[in-house]
Amino acid sequence: MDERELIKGCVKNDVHSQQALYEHFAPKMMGVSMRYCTSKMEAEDVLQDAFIKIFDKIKTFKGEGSFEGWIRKIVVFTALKSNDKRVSKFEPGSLENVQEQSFDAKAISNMETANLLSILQELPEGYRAVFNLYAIEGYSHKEIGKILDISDVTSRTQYSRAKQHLIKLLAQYGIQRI
Amino acid sequence: MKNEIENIFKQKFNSFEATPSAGLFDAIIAKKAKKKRAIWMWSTAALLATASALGLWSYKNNTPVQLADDTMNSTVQYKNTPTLLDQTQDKKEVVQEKTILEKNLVEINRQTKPSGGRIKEETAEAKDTRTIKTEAIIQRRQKPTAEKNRTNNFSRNEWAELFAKIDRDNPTMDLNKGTLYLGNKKQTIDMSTGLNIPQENKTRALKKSARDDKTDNNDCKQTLNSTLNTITSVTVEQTPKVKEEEDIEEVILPLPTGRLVALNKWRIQASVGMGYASRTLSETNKEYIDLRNSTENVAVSYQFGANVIYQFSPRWNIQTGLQYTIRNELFEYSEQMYTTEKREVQRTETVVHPVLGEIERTYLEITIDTTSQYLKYTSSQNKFQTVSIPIIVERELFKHHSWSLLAKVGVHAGIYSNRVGLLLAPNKETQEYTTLPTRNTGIASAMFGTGVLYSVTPRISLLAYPQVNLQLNSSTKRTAGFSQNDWGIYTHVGLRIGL
Repeated sequence: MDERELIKGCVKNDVHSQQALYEHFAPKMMGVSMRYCTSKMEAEDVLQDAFIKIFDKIKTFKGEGSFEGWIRKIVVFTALKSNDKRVSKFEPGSLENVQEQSFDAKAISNMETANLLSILQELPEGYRAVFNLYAIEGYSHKEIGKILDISDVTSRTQYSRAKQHLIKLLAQYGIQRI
Repeated sequence: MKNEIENIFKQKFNSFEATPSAGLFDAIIAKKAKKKRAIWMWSTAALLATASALGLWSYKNNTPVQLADDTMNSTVQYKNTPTLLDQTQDKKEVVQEKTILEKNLVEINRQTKPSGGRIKEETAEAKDTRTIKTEAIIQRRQKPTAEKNRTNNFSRNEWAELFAKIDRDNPTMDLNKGTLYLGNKKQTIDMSTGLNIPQENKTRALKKSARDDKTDNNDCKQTLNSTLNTITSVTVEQTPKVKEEEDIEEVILPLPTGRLVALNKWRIQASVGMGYASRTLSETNKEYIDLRNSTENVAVSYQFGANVIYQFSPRWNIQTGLQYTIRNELFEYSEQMYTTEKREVQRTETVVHPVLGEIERTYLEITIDTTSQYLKYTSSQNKFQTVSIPIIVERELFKHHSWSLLAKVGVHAGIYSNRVGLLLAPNKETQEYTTLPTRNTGIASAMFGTGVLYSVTPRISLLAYPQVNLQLNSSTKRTAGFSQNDWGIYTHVGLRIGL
């Protein structure tokens, strides 16, 4: 079914269209959700809440921009909100001068995505959120500041610390600094 | 290489997919349906409450007594006069109209009391109107060509005149659907059928001592309640006192001379409240509740409300809008450590014994010093903010001059909640409210209150309203391990404006 028809069907609350939409986007969005959560169960809770929101708000999608991007945004925001309920995790800090270090990029590239996901999930909540938003989603620190209600300096600090933490975790998987 | 890690992660995860559990879609549909059901339940509850209130009001008001024998059946005819439509002649025509109305009244007086001596003069113009019992010429600016003839059987011609006055001031109103209230609901005139007035009020409304021309005038409000969203409030300076004299006879009451104020059924209200608010905790661990109660103290709390009011009868109204509540609480927790120190001192004293003489006694003096020391002191100003939509039914219980006693009851549906501050966890560690699984929406509360309204003008009223709010469901989720229901007693002061 065409994406537009799917959207129209969902606006009309047609269960078949909703199921088709879910089946089309759920695996990808589950991947997104798992990056923000620490377990599959948690990620499924987020996905469930996100799809309820998607079905409720689909009539507000004006067709401006990509539909997948719109869905992804809802999943990300739902995951962040879900994490926000559990812990308060952002320590305000000053901008630190973190030494950029080089790694065996090839070794990281050769790693299984599942292993990288495990490393990501081992990051503390706040670090993981900022790293995901900045490195993978591509938000700027200013935008992250607005999303997480923190200053952009705090976002930068969290990101630097997240990277430091990531380096330590990568080392445990045998990735060496060059 | 800079940004190398970011690039690798981005590349790896851009196409990353994972398979959710098989039944997840069914769970989504089930949860969505549950959410929808909750919305329906709320809407139905609100509708039922409104319908019950309307039903009760309708039941209480549906006891009219028709007066047929005592009425004097004056006929009122309304005609359009195209000459009055000219705006430049408005003032003149209104004056003319007033004159005609007054003369008509004179005419009725003469017809109903031919031997009465109160009206001594009769103008030629009044004579001309004799053939038409009560003719009131009113201007119809909006329908200049249409002619409207109406016959109404009013028991009193002055009410007929009042009817004409209201009609004149409200040209767009459908008078067939109007009802005129005099003071309270028991004195009701149905404009389409004539007079409906309870028997017990008949004497009061119709009779007055003929010799007592000094009417004890009181302000009285008459309200024209039209189904076409128009209520016309009429301030009239006359309410005849009942004279229990034997020679009571009917006289014509003076025409209402008050100001007509066109009001519709809508009001807006803004209020601010201050009061005492706290919470009740439910948990099986009593020690934990005691601990919480000893560390959380009540502070002054506030409410702000903005409501739209629909006055569906002179006494009843329904309100909705937004309410913002800030419940403040002072959290204080201190951990003290007690240290004890034992000191022993050997002392000697001389005692004079009656037989042995002076003897020396040695004893040990033990002193224990206890020192308390604060290990930890934590305090926080906790804030619980709620935005809710109220659905309130209000009734006027009693009215005296400009003062009204009101009572209201309703429910609040929470649309947003936020909690900031600290609390004590069962392990006596301080914990942030933000880390608790709490409800951000769907917190419902019941409210009731009674208050006083003072009408500064027919449009503007001031109010003072003590009210009680009781939260119906817990603001924490089950996983929090305890339930917390807020309650508060607030006194609102505010302003109500008729539109």
